[in-house]
Amino acid sequence: MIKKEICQQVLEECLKTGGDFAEIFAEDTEKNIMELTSGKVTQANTTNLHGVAIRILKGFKEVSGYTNDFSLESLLKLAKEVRGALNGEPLDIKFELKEEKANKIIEAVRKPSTVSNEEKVNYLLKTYNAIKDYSNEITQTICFLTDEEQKVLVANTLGKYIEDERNHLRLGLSVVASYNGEMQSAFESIGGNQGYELLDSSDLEKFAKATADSAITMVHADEMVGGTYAVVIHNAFGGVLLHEACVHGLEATSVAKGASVFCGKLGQKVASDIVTAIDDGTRDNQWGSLNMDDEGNPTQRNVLIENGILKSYLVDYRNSRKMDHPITGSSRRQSYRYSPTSRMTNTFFAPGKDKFEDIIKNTKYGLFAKKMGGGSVNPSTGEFNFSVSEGYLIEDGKITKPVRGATLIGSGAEILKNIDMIADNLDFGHGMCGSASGSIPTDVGQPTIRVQNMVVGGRGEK
Amino acid sequence: MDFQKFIEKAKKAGIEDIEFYCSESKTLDIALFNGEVEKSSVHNSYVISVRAIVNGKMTYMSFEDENIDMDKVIEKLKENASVLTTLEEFEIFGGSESYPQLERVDGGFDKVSVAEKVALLKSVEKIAKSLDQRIVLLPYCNYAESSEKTSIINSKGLNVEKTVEYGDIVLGALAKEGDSTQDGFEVKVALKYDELNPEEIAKKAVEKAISMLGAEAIESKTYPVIIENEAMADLLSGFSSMFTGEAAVKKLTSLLGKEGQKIMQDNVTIVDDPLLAGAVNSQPFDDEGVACYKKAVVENGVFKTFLHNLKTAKAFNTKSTGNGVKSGSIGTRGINLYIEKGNATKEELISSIEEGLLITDLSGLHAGLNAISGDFSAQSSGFYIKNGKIEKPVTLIVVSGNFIKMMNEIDEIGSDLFLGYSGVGAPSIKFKGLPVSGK
Repeated sequence: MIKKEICQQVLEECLKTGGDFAEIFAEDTEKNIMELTSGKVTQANTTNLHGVAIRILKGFKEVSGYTNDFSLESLLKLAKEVRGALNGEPLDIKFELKEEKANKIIEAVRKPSTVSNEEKVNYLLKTYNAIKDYSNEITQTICFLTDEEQKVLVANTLGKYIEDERNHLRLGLSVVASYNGEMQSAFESIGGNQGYELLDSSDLEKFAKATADSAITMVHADEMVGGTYAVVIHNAFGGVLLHEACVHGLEATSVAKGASVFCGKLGQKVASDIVTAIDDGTRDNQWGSLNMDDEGNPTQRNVLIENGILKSYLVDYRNSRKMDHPITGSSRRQSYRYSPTSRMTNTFFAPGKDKFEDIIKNTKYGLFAKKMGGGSVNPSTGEFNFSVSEGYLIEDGKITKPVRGATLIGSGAEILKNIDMIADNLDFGHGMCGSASGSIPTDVGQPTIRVQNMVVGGRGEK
Repeated sequence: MDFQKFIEKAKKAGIEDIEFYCSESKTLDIALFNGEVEKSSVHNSYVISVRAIVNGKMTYMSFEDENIDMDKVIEKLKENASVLTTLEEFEIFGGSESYPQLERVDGGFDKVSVAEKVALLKSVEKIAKSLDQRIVLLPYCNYAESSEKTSIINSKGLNVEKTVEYGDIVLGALAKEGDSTQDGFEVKVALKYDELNPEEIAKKAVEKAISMLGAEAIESKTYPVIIENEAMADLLSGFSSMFTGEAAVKKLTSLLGKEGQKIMQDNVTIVDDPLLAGAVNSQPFDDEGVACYKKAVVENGVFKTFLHNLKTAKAFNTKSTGNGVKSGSIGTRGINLYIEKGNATKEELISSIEEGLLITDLSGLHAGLNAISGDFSAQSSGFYIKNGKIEKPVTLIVVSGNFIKMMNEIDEIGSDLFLGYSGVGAPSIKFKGLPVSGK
């Protein structure tokens, strides 16, 4: 993308005002989006990103900038502009860029550019056709397909010069069901850092019907009655609990500033004994996986909490200087337009020993949160919320009637200590996580878990 | 880039109409932490978005490489358009008869040195720390400024340009007392540098954090609830898509077919005023070059109109309301959408409550609401009111409701209209009763 010699020259220029580290992040990306609304192709659009960012560090201080022009002249101009915010004497830093090869965790076979638009439309049609005559209560289906080829280059004054490619592919379906003037929607997606072989190996019909069933069930559901309940959170996207309630508070972004409830707790007990939590960017072709992070470091399997004890934070290069904590291969950015920082990849609770059926059987009265919507957290207080998109009451150890409009709230530190059963059925769901360095693909995952008691909000009246 | 040449090439290649939307932006960001500049960045960017009608169908593409091969772009546009089967009708617009003149504001951001901007941030931090000993950390103390120039050029002869320049300061304050930790955020966006007042910003963030110390959940039941202006604006923002042409075309709004009908109580009026003086979002024309104007979306409780762009207007046999807003493709959105104010001061609203709540923050609205049905359940915090007075702070509760139903069960509307930087506004509103889940 940019020749090694040019990078060398630009990085040398960067260090002339006392910077002790400089980095180039260049990207050339093509993204396509296609949308099928009620069986008609309503969108087929393409976005190209083409930019290069320069970042210079001096201790903890970071100065940065970007441009869309890859020429040497433009890069040198940018380097001078960025380094202008530092005004020290140059340190005598010598380095020589050496080309490295990124790990090969991600292998895309059928890359987006090799798949025709007609073929892409066929995946959408296949999904839609599976449910178009499924129920007269379905009043709208919108199905989208996004793909990308993101080519990135990272070069820095530690001598790194490394290129990689990402191929995030996602097929999403939202179904609206209507009954008696009420409307409820359900959303599901299939996603990976992979080529179109992902969709070839997926059962699109089953996926579509499950999404439709969820919307139909929920349009007939009663409103959740608010209160305190035992809550059984199902596997896969249920892992959004861990993502929101805990791991945002383990990102260096808030830990390095002393603004997280988990500050200073390494080695301490933060969760019940049965809880082990992991962030693993190396899982084969998963939506949150990467060959390397956006600082060019290999992604890792980071055990964050082991048997209830806090073991690690998620740390990028700049924050590692502040925190005296090794980097964890977790530095990510939405694009060259964002400065990178520590973020999640695929975050999940490790499987436990309980059986799903036993967890339900052992719950006298509670809420079964089968599917979760999104949520958010305030890392300073640890207070979080998330919505239940498909829920059921548990009465006398049995799943009974569907309920809608439930919102779970609590504080992360409390909830982790309150988990008393974990099943063996680990699975994952796909999402986009928005934070300081933009919106990035992350997987959340977990087996079915039970939280002894949680505040549940709802519109229903007793 | 030579747009005329591009248009000629496109026409020759069989593209019926083509439009370029070019945005050039310049930004400066400074983040201060513990008295030191932690991060600073400068950006110049230029993005060209193009949309084209081929065989009656519209497709979009954007790129950032000015040296991109025009023929390749044209080929990609044709390839993308060839798979579209939508029955929607599209239009590239030749321009409105006239455009409103907005008062030009000289923000003066250029005249202030970076060093002075850093000094301003330092004073924000210093004041915030000095206001209360319980403020233990200021995790965010950031300055940003941005100037953007957008031009729209098309094959129908349109060639217009709009600019916006603004600056903002974001301050996050963390307060601690005993076991209680609370934070407060203040975001101040200004069209003029001089309007960024460090005392005001520091005071607001600190007050928000300190006043919440010791907050706890309260008993679950239905309470009379005042939703304070900023939180009410967030709630309207969460539901604003129900008023859009895009939602109407996709049948994703419960308001479909209800134009001219009474949907809210008599004293509710919701307007979209893109020409509002002093608002960051104000603009003379939308992202399709259609002149903007003020309109009522709901007037005295009656639903008047969806907010349309050119495409959604065609689907409903009407005219664009100048609400074509670009986010990827051109969607529909209110530009300055707000609920009109009433007469009561916030104090009057509070004093009228025997037992109830003042909600100052609604979190997680992006997930906890259903914009189709109007239902929401949101993590909330605020204050418990007893005998007309604020008694204690409240947190970790969930307030639930249905937006349309609530707007028919208003007790009183406040006079304290707040317009957020995202272009959505509301006064504080007192509702007769909303279910609250807590202890």
